[in-house]
Amino acid sequence: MIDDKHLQLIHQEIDGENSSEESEAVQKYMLKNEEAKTLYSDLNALSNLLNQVDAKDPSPNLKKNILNSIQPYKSSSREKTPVIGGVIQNIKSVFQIKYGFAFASGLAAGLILFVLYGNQNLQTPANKISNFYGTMIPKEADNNLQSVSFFEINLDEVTGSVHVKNGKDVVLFEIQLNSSQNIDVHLGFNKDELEFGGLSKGDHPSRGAIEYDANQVNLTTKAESSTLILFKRLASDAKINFRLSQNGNTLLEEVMTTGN
Amino acid sequence: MKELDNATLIRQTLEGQEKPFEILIDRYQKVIYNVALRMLNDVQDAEDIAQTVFIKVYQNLRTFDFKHKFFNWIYRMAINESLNLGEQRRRFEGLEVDYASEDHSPEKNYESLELSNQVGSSLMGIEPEYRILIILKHLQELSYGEISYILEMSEKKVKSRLFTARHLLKDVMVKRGIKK
Repeated sequence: MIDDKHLQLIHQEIDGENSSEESEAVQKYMLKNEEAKTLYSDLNALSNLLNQVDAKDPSPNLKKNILNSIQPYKSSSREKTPVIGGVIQNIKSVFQIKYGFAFASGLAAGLILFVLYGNQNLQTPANKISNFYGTMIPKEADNNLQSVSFFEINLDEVTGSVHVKNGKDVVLFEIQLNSSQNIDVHLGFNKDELEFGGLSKGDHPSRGAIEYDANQVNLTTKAESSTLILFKRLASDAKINFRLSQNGNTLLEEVMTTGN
Repeated sequence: MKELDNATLIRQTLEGQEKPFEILIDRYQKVIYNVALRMLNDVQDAEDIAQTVFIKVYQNLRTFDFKHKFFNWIYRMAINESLNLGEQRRRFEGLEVDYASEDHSPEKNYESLELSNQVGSSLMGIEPEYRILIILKHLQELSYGEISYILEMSEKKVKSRLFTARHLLKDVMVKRGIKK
């Protein structure tokens, strides 16, 4: 039996937090209490084991992904521009994203929605960004977007839905998926018809970095995920080749129209 | 060249400079990633958390209270994000162990990786509120005082939970044959 006072001293000894008097006291105690000695030995071994665990290096892309993610916020955090002007400036910067890895945020969708629905009560772009971050399209705002394509997914590996909505110059691609394993989502498109603008993660975020280039967007989801992907429309009859796969096996493939 | 302190870097970022925030990322991305990795035992989730934390830091930089330490603020954010995501994952599917699925250090020897995996999976065997104590004390090597500040609990409670956490972890490791 080890009393509470000495139990605490043993733990503190492991942490190097005892004074010299306390260290001496606990050493003396262990000499006459075998259980205390065994506990100290076990805890010391545990501590040594944990100390041997090296910190892991994150992916070399992490910093780049972070910098890409905060890019759209930069102009709004630096200066107070007029609301509409600032928003338009941000949209332009979003649409100027070139090729590479990125992990975008809900900013693009938020800003686009701001322009589409023109809320007069907004105060600053920064406020609007935080309101939209991590959210999907508000139901009440849906009226200004036209639904052009929708289908439900009911496969053994994954369930959910895909919804394509059409705005004046934008296409919004909503994906909601439920799966117990990783599901790879591929959106292929013609670069002369659509340009990737960004994405918004829902309450159950998609996992990892998204990968995109001029003709495709790829991301991986698991568990419950909801993602809104934003495109700038370059042609009225643009199509998106939507594909779900798992471990390289195609589960579903659909060509979806984005025109009226 | 003199290393700039965090407060200076934050002020420069708020003034619109880009490089200072990059320095903050360089300074803390590994720490944040590792806290999240040990909390969730999943490399992709850990990267998501690190990314989310830095986005939130950037978004909320104007609200940072210079009376406090930056690393405490960012630690707290990482822990909260990890706990939230862990809870979401647990509700939906139960946590899986795929810690070894991706390793960015190919030069690591097998024993080191094996130990890391064993500790990682054993940590998942104890509740998050105890796991975080082991992570902060043993893997991040923070003092009782720092842990107390980050977790917003008294030092007495930190000690009490840490001591319990050690016993719980020891039991898990013994059950798994990791420790005699």
